Amino acid sequence: MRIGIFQLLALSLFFISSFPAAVMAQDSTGLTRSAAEVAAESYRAGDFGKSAEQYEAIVSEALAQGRESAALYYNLGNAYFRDNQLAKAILNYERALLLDPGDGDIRHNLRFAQNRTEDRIEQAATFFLQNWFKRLRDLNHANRWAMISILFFLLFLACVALFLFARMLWIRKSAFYSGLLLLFLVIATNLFAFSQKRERTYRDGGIVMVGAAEVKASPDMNSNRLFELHEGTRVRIRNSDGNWYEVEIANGSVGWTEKKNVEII
Amino acid sequence: MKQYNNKIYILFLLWVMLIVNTASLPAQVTFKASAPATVVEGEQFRLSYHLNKEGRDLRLPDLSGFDLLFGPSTSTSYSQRIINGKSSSEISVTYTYILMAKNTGTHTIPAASITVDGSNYRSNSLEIKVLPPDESSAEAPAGEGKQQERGAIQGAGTATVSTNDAFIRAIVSKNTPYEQEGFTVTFRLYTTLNVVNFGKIQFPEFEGFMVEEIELPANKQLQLERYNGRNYYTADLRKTLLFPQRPGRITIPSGTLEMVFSVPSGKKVSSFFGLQEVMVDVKKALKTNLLDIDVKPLPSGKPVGYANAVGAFGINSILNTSEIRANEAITLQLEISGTGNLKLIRNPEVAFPDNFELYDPTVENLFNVTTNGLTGMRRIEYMAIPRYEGNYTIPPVEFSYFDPGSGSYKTVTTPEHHLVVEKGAAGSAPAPTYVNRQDVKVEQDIRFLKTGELLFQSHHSFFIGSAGYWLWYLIPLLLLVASYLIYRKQARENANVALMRNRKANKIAIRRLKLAERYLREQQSEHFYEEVLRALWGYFSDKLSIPLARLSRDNVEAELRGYGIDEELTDRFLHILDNCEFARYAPTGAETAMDRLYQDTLDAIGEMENRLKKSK
Repeated sequence: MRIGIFQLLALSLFFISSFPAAVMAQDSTGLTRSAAEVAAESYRAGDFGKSAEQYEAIVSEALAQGRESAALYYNLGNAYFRDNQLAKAILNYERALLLDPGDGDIRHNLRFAQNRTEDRIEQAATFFLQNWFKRLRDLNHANRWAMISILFFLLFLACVALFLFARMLWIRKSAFYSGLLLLFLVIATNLFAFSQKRERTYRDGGIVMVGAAEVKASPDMNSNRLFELHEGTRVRIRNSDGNWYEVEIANGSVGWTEKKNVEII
Repeated sequence: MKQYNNKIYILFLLWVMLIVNTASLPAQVTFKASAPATVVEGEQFRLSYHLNKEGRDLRLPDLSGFDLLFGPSTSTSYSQRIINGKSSSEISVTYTYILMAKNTGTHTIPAASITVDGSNYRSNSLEIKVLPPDESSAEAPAGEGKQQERGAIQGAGTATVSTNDAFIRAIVSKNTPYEQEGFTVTFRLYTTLNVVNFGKIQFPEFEGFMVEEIELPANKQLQLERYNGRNYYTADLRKTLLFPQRPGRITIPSGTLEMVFSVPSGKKVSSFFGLQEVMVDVKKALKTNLLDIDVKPLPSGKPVGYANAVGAFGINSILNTSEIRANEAITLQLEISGTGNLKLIRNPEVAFPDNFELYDPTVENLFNVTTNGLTGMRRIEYMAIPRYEGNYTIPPVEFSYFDPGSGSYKTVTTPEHHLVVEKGAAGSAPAPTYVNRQDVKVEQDIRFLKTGELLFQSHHSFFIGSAGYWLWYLIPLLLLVASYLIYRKQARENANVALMRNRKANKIAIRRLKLAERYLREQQSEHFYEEVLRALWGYFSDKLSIPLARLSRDNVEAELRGYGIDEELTDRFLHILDNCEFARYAPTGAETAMDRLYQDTLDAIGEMENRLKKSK
């Protein structure tokens, strides 16, 4: 009986120690590293346009290999921001934030860049629980939530084991209640993780890339002009039709704009 | 004739006094020529030479282009003043010539020379502009004649002033200035008539401009000027410098002036001096012309340090000291000098180090209003108090202005200043109060790059929801379930062992009491008790390995104890033995008693078996 628990613990330890290797397909080839160094050097020297080009090259090379990096997008966004290309800066900050929603630097720079945009959009009121959920969810990215949830699950199992095998009543009692709490946490973190995953899989955010984008009532050049959006404003893409996207802005207004005006995050 | 002699005498006396008084004062000799700057061809004018000494041998220069009609006529004036007992005297000799210009153009009258006390003095030379005669002057007599006729018909007091005889022009120096570029507007009166009086003067409002008045001499000199083929006497009534404040077309409305002219009425009256024309005062309101000013906007691409300055400027800065103790004041003087809209220049910002306490700068304007704009200097004094010691640098101040001459923005900079601040005298620092606590500024810029190794994640592959993820749930769960199952099984098996033992012990007891059970069923109580006793004794004998013959009620207790059976069980056995002995000889026949005894015996033997097993 005791041997059973020990085996379980040993196995858990083994699993936990092998976490990072299993979860993150981390890689840093020497080549990419040096290219990033060169781009950072240009940035430090104040040649932001060149720095942005160099970072862009690294991004496309990495994308060809099917890989992405939050830090890379962040740095690219910085280079564009300094080069006065606001829309591209915001686009890259958003991409970085999508990969690593909990990063304070990315959040700060994105907010700072968004303050420079022309459109001031009143945020439509949302239910406070929804806001809480989003805020909590955005503390970590999907894979980290997955790891946390597994950790909670293992702890939950440990509580179950204690409840089943322990003889002392107070141990069994506390194991029961902590088990309940842990089960709740496992469910919550799973929700967060899957919500994050969906966010990244169905990319429906877009950034207005042109100076002024007309938003029309229907996907047709001749239809009524509803409002105008300016460079750097974030929209949600609801639908697409030919060369048109149906976009929704933060205040809830919906309209159609040409695909060339908007780039998906 | 006698009177004349007397005059000479007095003059002589005065002359003697003059010699006495002035002998010690070598007076400066001035010899000046004067003539009107503009004259009309065919008209007479005066050329005068003024000398403040007696001279002789005045030699006129070559007066080509002019006809000398008359001269020289000499006039001498003499004055003496005694102020506080000191007397001074002045003599002034004027030689006057009457000339007439022969042809139009600009003529120069070179210097004339005169000898005073044996030395030669030269006058200044003069430039005289000769205007052609009025085109209308030929018709003038006819016009006058008409006027006379009209006058004769309508009578006196109806004389009028035509718009050609008197008018006011508003003259702009530039019609298309840049925004903030200065230009002048002059209101000039043109008249051929005598001005008797000025009435109500209402100049237009200059809306959209910053206005600077240009001072004009108090006594207005009439100047001859040719305009539209006529020669007019002109006088500048008002001259202003304007700085347009917004781009686009700005119209300056017209102003009105009421003037009283002296006009010949056409009547002639014979007087002591002969036939004279009667002059009538005529009031006339003159209107200035409308002015359209096209103000050009400043070109785009204003530099960062643009301070709303238009013109041509230079900048300099002076720091009053390069070494100072903390909490003592320094002043930085910024001098912007040049020509342009000096008054409207924004004070450039000086980027003092953050911990300097700054005071509002004081501004001193030292400029003159000229026709080109405000010329001079704007001095801005910045006072600052460094609060902490250290080496500081006050960066150069950039001052950008728009140069309308080249149509481009120009930037000038001041030198950089270095300041060494030493620790202030003890106690001079202000007591730290809540007022002095500094707020750390909210970050006003993006954060720096993320350096270090880039962590890449593969695109669209998620750990969450993958098979590996679910395995992480499944394997530990299975492990837990399996270990629980094993635990349960083992527990059950353990429980079975105890049961088996019990069953074995019971088996022995049941075997031993087999016969007793039969007698119990047949209700043969005598046999039953006998059999229970026999079984018990037999059991003890077997267990304790003591021959039956040597066992008795007396020693069995000690033997059982010696065997390791506790008192309670021993008592139970003894109780059973006693009960059986008693019931054999005094049978009660109670079935329940028999039953109970049987069960007790069974339990006791089973119990003992268990104990023995355990202790083994």
